[in-house]
Order: sequence, then structure tokens, then C-alpha cells
Amino acid sequence: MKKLRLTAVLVFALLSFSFTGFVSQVNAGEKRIRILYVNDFHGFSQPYRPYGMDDQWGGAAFLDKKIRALRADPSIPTLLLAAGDMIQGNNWANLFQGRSVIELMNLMAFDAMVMGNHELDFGQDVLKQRIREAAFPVLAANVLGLPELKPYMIKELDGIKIAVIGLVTEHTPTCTHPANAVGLTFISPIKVLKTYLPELRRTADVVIVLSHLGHDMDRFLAGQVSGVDAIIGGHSHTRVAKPSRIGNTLVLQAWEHGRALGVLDLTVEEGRVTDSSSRLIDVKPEDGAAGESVAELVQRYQQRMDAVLDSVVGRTRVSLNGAEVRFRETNFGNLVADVVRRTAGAEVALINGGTIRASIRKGPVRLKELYSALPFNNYVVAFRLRGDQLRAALEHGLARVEFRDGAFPQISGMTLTYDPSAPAGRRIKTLFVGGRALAAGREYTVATNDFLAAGGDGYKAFAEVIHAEDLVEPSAAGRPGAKLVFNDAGRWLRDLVADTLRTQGEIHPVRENRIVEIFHP
Amino acid sequence: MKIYVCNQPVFVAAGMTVRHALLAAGCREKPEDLLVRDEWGNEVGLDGALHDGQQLFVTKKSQTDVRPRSL
Repeated sequence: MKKLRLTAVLVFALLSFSFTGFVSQVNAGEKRIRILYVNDFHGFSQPYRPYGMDDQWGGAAFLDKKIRALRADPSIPTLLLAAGDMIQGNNWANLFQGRSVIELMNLMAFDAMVMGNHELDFGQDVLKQRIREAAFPVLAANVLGLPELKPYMIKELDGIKIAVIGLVTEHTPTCTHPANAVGLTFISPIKVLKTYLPELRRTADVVIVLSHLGHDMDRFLAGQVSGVDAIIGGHSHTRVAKPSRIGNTLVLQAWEHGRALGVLDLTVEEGRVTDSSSRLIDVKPEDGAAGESVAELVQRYQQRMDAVLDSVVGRTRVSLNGAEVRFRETNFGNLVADVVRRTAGAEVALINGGTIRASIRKGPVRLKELYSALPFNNYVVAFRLRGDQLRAALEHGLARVEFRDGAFPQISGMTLTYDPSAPAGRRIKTLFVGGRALAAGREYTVATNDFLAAGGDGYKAFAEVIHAEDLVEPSAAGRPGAKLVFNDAGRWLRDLVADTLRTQGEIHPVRENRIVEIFHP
Repeated sequence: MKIYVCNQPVFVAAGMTVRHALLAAGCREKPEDLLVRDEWGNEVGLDGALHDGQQLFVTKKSQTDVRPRSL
């Protein structure tokens, strides 16, 4: 009995402690506001099980449920902010060019978002349309040329004026299709913030930077510019469980894909922040009803998505061979390599056979079949490589043909013969680009996918090119200019292949002896 | 861009992400099996953007000690 009583006292004490810890005392003249935030949602509307984890994470309906619960407290007025990269990524977003996400955000009553670099991935016209559909401002103070974007907003909650200024990474033009950023100027975020800050401080009690710069840059910004109360960030997908305070600025971020909801509580007195606390709340499917209207919207677009995936994008007069891509040229490999080369406007293309995971039967081709055959979020990049570097890359791809692994090349714009019985690294016997023998010292534009460009399947040629650039001019290494000639991280390869089918209506790819196996006894 | 994965420099193109840096570093495990942290000990997602000179620290998810190697 004594034990029970003691337990009861302890439980009461703990509850009292946690209650006072959660809702701190507010003195006369003090007011409290709450800022909820997410970033890098990328259209992840459904809960998903991250690889290697046992449980499911995220889900817009469960995120909404947490938000509604926190907003239900009438004593603490709330802002809901998104730190960019909301409308592109997952099929649920991409197949509607982000419209589904804006509808979702409207329903969840977001107050503002900053434009992320991926918001430009569908082009400026689409982004303008998405901004028109949004019931909240889309911010970016350091972008010129897109008047639909607002530099900042000021919102009053319970008599407290809160300024939210948006800043997006200056590197946006280098990681989207070049056409997407035409006419836009991205200015230094530090310079822009310093320009706006005096005005914002005069007008508002609280100044928040809603940033899509990445956590490192947010920290740097906080160190360079004083007078900001909090930087709520995105871009680097950082799970800032314990926020840093740099000077008087809190630096925060809430991971990715709606797997966490950030909560920042601020106490404001006489026009300045006097106290703060923050935390991340994990978002997972849980018992009890999820936000019903949000769940309905997610489901409605899911059904539309299924219909789009089930739609026919074109016809193929021959079966597309994805079964033999790991040890010989196939017509499917040629089709995809051609799309890669054409997209980048390159002289040649080289992809790994492992890009293609299934065959497609002749006849009508449904989008879902293409997505199954090309399941990875690969995109197209192109570099200038010397002939000897291109040869080395191809030799690498042929070095393990007998093991039938994914490195085997599928190519476009060039032909080669090789002897699989020769020692690895010396298997290529002839190599022609555009009908001419490869010149070891000449530079060629070589398109590939991001997987190989990063060194996937052991391909080193592309990283070596960036390394060589880094030795000469570190600030230019790996950036569009000298060696990197095409880079579009916002368009998946499978969608480019689907576009080809849509455009051509009917295809008939064949083997063309691009890769010929020869034996020298 | 030059990125440091467990203090080892690797080179990736602009717009590439944490996932690409792990590939460039020759990590044999599937990226999804790895827990990646920045130099301040924050967990970062595989699709997280990179910046020049960034430091990443990698441990297997199954390992209990997930502190960055620099700490």
C-alpha cells in the first residue's frame, strides 16, 4: 500500500513537472506564440517504411493530426511554415506537377512557405500556377525575376507582429534544368537579409528566416547577421533535435518527408523574444483517426495517381529486353541510352545495365510498367571526358561481364567490340564515336545518370574529372561550366523515357551492334 | 564539390545529395542501412543537399555508438 502511495505521489510529481515544463509560466505583459514547421516534404503524403526500419514514418494525415492537436490550444496562437522543396519528389506530387501538394497545404492551413530549389523543377510557368493556387504566400527575398514570389510576410498573432522572410539557395540554377532558371537572379542570402532586416525589425516583434539554404549555411548566416530570432531551415534534410543558438538566433530544421514536425514556442515581451523552447515530434501512423479531410484528399489523389500510372503512354512494336542488360547490348538499353544522350545533347551516352530492372512486352506500354522497369530516381548529367577517360570507363563496365553485375554498359552514339576473355581493363578492341575511332586526347561530351556520375558500380571517371577540376579551381569543381555540361536533378530518367513514348507514339528499338563480343583464342 | 565522408575527400557534382556522397566514398552497404550525421551530430537524410567542404560521418544503423568520428 505504501508502495502504491509512493508511486502515486511520484506520478503526480512527474506529471506536474512535465506540465510546467511544457507550458511555462507567463508573466504579465508576456505573450506566447507557437511556430510549427516542416521542410523537404517532397510529396510524401503516405506513410512509408524507410529501408532498414521496422516501423512506418510520416503520412500527411498523421502530420495534420499533430498540427491540429497543437493548434487546438486557444491560448497559444500558431503559425505553420514550410521551409521548401514541398511540391516535387514523390509520384504523388510529380504526376500532378505539385498541384496535389498545394491543395494539401491549403487544407492544412499553412501560413507560408519558402521556395525550395526543387519548386522550379516543373518550370517557371508551373510554379507560377502553383503559387496562384496557394492560399498562402510563397517567399523568396533573394530571387529576382519572379514577381509571384514575395520577399517576406508579416503576420499578427495576438498582438504580436511576426516577420517571416524567405531565402533560397543561390545554387538553385546549377541543380535544375538550365531552362528552369532562365531570367531569374539569385542574390546572396546574407546580403539580402542585411538589406531587409532593419525594416523588418522596425515593423515586427519577432523575425524569422524561413530558409532553404541547408543547415550549414543557416548556421553561417546566424553567425554573420544578428537580429534574427530563429532560422527555420530546409534543403539539407537535417534532423535538428537539439537546436543551436548562434548569437541570439536559434537554428532549426525538421528532417524530411513529413517524418517530423518542428515546434518552436516563443515568449515575447515588450517587442522582443524573452524565452524559447523547441522540439521535434516524430510523425508516424498511430491509433485513432487521422485528420479525416486530409486523409480523404491524399486518397483522392492516390486514386488519380493509380489511374495515371495505369494509362498507356505509347506502344512498342517489339518487346523491350531488360533481362540481358547486364551482359550484352539490348534494345531497351539502347532506347534508354538514346534518351539520356538526347536529353543532354551529348555526343555519347553511357549508362549501367543495372538501371533497367525488367522487360516490357510488345504492345501498349503503361506508365507503371516503365516505372517498374526503371524504378530508381535517376537523373541525367553530362560531362566532358577525354577519350582515354571514356575508354577507361567503358573498360570498367566490361571488366566484370562474366559476373553479370549491373555495371555492364548500355551505350549511345558509339560502338565498340570487346573480348571478354582478355584481361580486365584491356578488353576493348575497337571503339568508335560517331563513326570515327576514339581519339584518346580529344574531349567528348558524355551523358550518363547521376548514379554512375557519383561513382556507382565502381565507375570512377566522372569523379576523377571533378577531382582534376578541384585541383585547378576548387570553387568551380563539379559545377556547371567547364566539365559539367548538363545537370537536371529535377527530372527522373523514367519520366524522360515516358515522354519519348508519348511523343513518338510507337517505338521500335533494335539491337544495332553497338556492343559486339569477339573472341581471340 | 569536395565532400568529406568520415574525413575522406570525395568529389560529386552540384545538386548531388548525401546518397551520392556515400556512393562516391565507396560505401559497400546500402545507403539506407547507414546512419549519416553532419559535423554537429545531427542526422541527415539521404536526399539531403550538400555543400562544398561538407563533412559527413557514417555508422551502420545497427551500431549503438553513432557519434561522429570527430567527437
